[in-house]
Amino acid sequence: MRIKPIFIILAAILTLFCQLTIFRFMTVFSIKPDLMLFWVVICSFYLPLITALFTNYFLGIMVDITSNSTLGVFGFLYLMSGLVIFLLYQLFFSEDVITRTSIAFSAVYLCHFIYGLGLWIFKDALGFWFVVFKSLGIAFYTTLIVFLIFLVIDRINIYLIARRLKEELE
Amino acid sequence: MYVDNKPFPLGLCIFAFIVLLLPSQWLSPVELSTLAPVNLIHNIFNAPKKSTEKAKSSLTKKESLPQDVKTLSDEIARLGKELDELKANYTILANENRELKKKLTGIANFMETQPSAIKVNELYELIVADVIISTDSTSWRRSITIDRGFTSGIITGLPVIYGKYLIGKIAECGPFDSRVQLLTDPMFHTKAFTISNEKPHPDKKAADSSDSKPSTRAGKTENITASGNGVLEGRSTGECILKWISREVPVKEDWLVMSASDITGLYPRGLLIGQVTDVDEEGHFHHVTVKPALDFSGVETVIVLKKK
Repeated sequence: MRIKPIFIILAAILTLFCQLTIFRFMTVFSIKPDLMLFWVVICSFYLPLITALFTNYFLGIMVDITSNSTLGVFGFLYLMSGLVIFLLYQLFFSEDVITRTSIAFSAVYLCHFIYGLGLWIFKDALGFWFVVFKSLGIAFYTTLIVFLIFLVIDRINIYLIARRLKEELE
Repeated sequence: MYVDNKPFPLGLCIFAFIVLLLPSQWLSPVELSTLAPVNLIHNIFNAPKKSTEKAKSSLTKKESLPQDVKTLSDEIARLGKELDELKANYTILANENRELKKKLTGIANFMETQPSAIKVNELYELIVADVIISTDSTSWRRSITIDRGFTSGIITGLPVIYGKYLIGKIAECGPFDSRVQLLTDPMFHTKAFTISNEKPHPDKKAADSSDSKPSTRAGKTENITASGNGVLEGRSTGECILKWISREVPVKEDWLVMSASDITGLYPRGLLIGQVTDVDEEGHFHHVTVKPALDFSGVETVIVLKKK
């Protein structure tokens, strides 16, 4: 599957807008899903490595601009997450939903755990176990939504392929 | 394994790492300058002029009515037109009034409650700002973005209030917008103290905050006791923690937490922060959980306090 990076960026801007507005109503235990990472996952799965990394870095910078974090922190973390996802996808290549969701979970957890760890170590804010559980919460919540989106995408794909095959047979 | 034959973008990784190491004072203006379009859109949607022009254009359209309507008597037409104009004017004024009332609520509350504690006009310059982004995009941080930057005289570290409530401080400052670090942000620290009141009524207590002295308001004496100072920290969970209050000082649930003036003198004493929800003991100190008194999601206009 080939997707143009510009579509991903536009979709990500829309996602960011949602994250800043309606997602606050989806907050559970002060945790809201980080759906920008969904686009990082999509980029790393379906774009060439260099394009994917540039797009991921840009998405991270957008998150930095709209959050109180220092400029470049999420840019760097998304870049690294993208790289990890790309390598894991190459290693365990599968179109299976569970595999893709597991890779997404690892990337989301890694990204947020490192950020929380940074807050704990460098800024002396929060505590170690708080960081561990909060990152886990964000990863579970985000992955649940990513899993549902992957399921829907797969269903649509299967339906479209089946329809095309039926047309060709007729 | 790795199958892409293109070279690995090491340059991008190095660039990203270098950006990470740059001082935040250099990056904040650049970062917040990119939010200029958001500010612009906010201004367009909030301009009262727009509604006036819209109403005027609708009236102009009504003047070019079809021929059959013109056959009505002159008197009815004149009265109808007058009524339309009055209705349009009333709608415009009512809308403007509603907007201005909303903006003034914060200032009015602050002025009503604070004169006894601090001389606002003499000590502080009040910079009124609209909230353009009311939340943070990550789950870790708690911030809002306002439409005033260093061109309006705002600098990093200034306290931000809504009425009698302290809501945070300026964390980053751009030319036309700034980021406010809320009380609940894990990086937020400020000096605060707890205060007891026999008859819990936040409005009265905020105004009457004074150290260990009974105060009188509306002819009624209330027994107010302030405990020692501590450091308030955010928790990114919607709550704050008040640390370093000695166990020798009493602190109880439902007591109020207020801002204390610090060594910089930027923070006025007696701004309401929240209410104590839990008190634990940690060594020689209390570990106090504080619930902010204000729901930050509904805040549309804030005041930045700048010391004269």
